[in-house]
Amino acid sequence: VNATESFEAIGTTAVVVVARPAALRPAAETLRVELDRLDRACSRFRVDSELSRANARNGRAGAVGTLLATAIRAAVSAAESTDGLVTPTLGRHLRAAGYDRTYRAVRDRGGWTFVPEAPHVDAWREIRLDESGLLTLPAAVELDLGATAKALAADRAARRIASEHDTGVLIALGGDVAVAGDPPPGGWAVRVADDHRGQLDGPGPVVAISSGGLATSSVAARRWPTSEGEQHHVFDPRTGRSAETCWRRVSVAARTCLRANAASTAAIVLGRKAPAWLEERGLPALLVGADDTCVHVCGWPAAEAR
Amino acid sequence: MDHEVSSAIERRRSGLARVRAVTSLTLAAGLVLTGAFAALAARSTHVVRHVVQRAAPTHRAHASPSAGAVVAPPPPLVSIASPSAQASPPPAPTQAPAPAPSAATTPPVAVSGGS
Repeated sequence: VNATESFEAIGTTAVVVVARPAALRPAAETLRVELDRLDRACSRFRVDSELSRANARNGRAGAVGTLLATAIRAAVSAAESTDGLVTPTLGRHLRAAGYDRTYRAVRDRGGWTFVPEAPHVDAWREIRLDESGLLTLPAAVELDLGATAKALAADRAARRIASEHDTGVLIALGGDVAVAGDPPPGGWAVRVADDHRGQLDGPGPVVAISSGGLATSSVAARRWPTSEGEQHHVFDPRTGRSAETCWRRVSVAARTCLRANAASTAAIVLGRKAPAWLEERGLPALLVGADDTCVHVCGWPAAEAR
Repeated sequence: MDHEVSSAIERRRSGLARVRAVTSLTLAAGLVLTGAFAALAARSTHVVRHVVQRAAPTHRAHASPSAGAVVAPPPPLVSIASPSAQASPPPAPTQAPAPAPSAATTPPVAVSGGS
């Protein structure tokens, strides 16, 4: 029998499910602590966060803490593994598009004058972070770690909870799911949907994972109106605006939630080339088109590809 | 004349009898040797199987973690590669297929969707 607790954190829904019910309370507390640390280190929407201070230095070097350094390294590794399709250097472009505060505040604002800027696609290669934590960003580059920091946090929290509280555990932060420890018989069952706030008994296929992570990127959630048309939060680093894609959502399973998140985001940006790209990397995935067309890749259960 | 014919027939009969005896002995010896080889082969197979059956736990005992060490669990049995991946040569370790989800047999405990 599993035990579940969910709460709002870092602008999304955090869920912890444990295989040993007695571990639920300490596991939830561990997750809260992890997410609070993540928010203070990596949030782009808090003026007092380490990331906001680093972004404000505009090319000058400055020291960052261990967690932010870890999150930046994870983001750069995601950029490397996706050939720059998922990059942490789009903070300035997201801000220009009006995504300069929590999504709820952006949505409630009702409109925004968006003046797109051409991005420097290889800016992530110019990020300097030495072993002591001294960070230097390229001038005029602002980091946004939203695509990877949440997935990294899910991986870290799942591993820590399994280790410290002796239980199999599933962590879901928005669309990002990580599991650790011994799974229940048959694995952890997860429903895949357009929006992570969907009901457990809502539409969408249900699959089971026993290790690693599962991430879903969707253009159906987090949309807001601007003078340049409706935008969504998956930005194309080649254009500096929301990716024009043939997919409504892409779900990917990988050895870590971080890898799954990077791949699902890259697949949205890649569009029609995404199935071959995922196949080359051996990543099981379900891609759902705007017209409900489904493509399943690398062993994703075909019967569930709807 | 009749005596000579009878003697010739008798010699021929005794010759045939010797040939039959030798043939029988040869066949018997062949059967004995075949049985011996079969038994030997069966014993050898048994020995090999025995060694294999005993080798696994011995190997696992060596592979078990020392106190305090963290060892990654073995890959889950639900790990499935795509048909094309299975048909191609084994991938490099850095590109090893990720564990594929399986069809769920229990109700979902979480939702993965856009955030």
